[in-house]
Amino acid sequence: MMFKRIRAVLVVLAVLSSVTVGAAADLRKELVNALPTAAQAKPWTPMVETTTYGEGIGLTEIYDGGYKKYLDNGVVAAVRRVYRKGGLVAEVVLHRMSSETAAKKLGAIKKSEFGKAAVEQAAGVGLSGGFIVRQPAMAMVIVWGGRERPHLCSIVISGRGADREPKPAALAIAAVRNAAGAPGAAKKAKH
Amino acid sequence: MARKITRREFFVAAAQGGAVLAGVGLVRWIGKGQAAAAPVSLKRRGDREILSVARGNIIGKGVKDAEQLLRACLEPLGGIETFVKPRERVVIKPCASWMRTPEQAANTNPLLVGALASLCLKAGAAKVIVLDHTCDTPSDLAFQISGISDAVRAAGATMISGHEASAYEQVRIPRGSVLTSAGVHRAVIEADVLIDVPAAKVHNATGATAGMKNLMGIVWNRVAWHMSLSLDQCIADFASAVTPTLTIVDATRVLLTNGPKGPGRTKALHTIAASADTVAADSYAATLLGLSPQRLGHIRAAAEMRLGQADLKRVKIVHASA
Repeated sequence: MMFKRIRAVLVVLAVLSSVTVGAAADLRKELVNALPTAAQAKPWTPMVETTTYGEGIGLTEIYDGGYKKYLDNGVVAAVRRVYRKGGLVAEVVLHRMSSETAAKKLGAIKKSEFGKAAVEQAAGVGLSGGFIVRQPAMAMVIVWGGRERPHLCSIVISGRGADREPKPAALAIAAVRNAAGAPGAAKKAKH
Repeated sequence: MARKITRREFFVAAAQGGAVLAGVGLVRWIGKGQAAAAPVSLKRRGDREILSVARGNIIGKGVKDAEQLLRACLEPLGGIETFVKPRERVVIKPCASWMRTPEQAANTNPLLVGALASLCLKAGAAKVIVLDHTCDTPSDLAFQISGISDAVRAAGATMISGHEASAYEQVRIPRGSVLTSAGVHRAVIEADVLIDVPAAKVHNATGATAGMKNLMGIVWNRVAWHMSLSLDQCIADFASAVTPTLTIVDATRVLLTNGPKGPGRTKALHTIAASADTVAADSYAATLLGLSPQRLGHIRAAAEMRLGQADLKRVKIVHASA
C-alpha cells in the first residue's frame, strides 16, 4: 500500500517537472525571439554569442548577486544580449514580468536608483511607460509594456559618447513590441 | 489529546523535510567536489593592525598619479616591498566583472590596477597576473570596457579571464561551516602573493561589497554560494582559507545604488584604503558607503571567526595624502 502511494507521488512529481521544463523552454524561446533582430537593431550589431537566459536563481547568470531584487519584484525570466556599434556596447536585458503592475513597480524602483538625476521620458507605440538616464559615458533606458504578456526591457549603453546617443531607446522599444507581439514586430526573428 | 495528522499533511511535511535535507546535501556536495587539494599557501605579511587611508584625485588623470596615490597609501604599511618580494608570483584581483565604464563605478578604477601591477613589477615580482572570473560575458569585452585590460597591458602584466573550468582546483576550507571546499583558480593556488583590489560599492545581496566578497571572482562555482544556507557565511568561510596578503579598497568613485552591477548613483570620494587585514579594510569600506560594518552579515561572520578586526576603534587608522 505504502509503496503504491510513494509510486503515485513520484509519478505526479515527474509529470510536474516535465511540464515545468517544457514551459521554461517555451519561455526561453519566446524571450530570445523577442530580442531585436539584426535588421531592427541597425546600426547596432547583435553579438549572438553573448545571449544569456536565466529564470529563478538562474537570474544570477545575468545579475550575479543582484538577482534577488529582480526575483523579488516580479521578474519571471530574463534574457541578455550585447549589441555593438563602433566603440559603444549596448547591453539589452528583456525581462518577462509576472504582471503589468510588477513591471511598473520595477520601473519605479529602477528610476529611484538615480535619485534626483535628470530623467527623460521614453515613449513609443505599445509601451506603458519608460525613462532614459544619461550619465558620463553611459545611457540607460528602461521601458515596459504588454498587458497580456508584460515585459520590462533595460538597456545600458556604455562607452565614450554613450551619453550623447541620439536614439538610446530604439532597441528597447523593439524588444518590448516584439515580446508583446505588436503589429510590425518580428514574428520569426532570425538571429 | 494529540490530533492525528492526515495523509495529506504527512506527505506535505515529508516533502518539505526532504527538500530541506536535499538542499543542504546539495550545497555540501557541491562544496566538497572531488578529492580536495592542499590549502592555498599565500604569504601573510605586514602589520595587520594598521589601516592606511589616502586621498587624492586620480579621476581622469594618468597612471603616474595613481601610482603616487598608491605609494602614499602603502607607505605607512612599509611600502609595496613589504608585501612583494623579488621573484615572487603575484596575483592581483580587481573587480573587472562588469561591462561598465570607469565612470559607472562598478569595477575597480583601471588606473589603480595598472599602477599596482607596475609597482609589483618594480618590486621585483617574477610575474604579475591580473585575474577575474567575470560575471558579464564575454570577459574580454568586460575587461575592455572597464579599461582594465589596457591598463594591465601598459603596465607589462598579464590579464587572464577565469572562464576555463579546467583552470580550477578544489581547495579545502578547514574552518568552513557552510563552505567546506571551493574550486579556486590555479593562478591563485600557485601564487605567493594575492593582492585584492575591490571596488567599494553597495550590493543587493550582501549590503556592501569590498575585499572578501571580491574573492568570489577567483572561484569557479559562485551559484552554489548563492544557493547555500548563507551567502554571508560562505564569504567568511572562504576568506578563512584564501586570505589576501594585502587588500586595497578602491573608493575613488563609489556606486551607491543598484550594486553590484549598476548603473546607479555614484559619488567621487577620491579615497583608497589598504590593510593586511581584509576584514578591517572591508569594515572601513562599509563606513565610506554610509553603512555600519556590524550590520553586514559577511563582516560579522568573519569577525566571529576571528579572521580580522571589524571594530574600527581597535584599528590604527593612518591618513596619508598624495
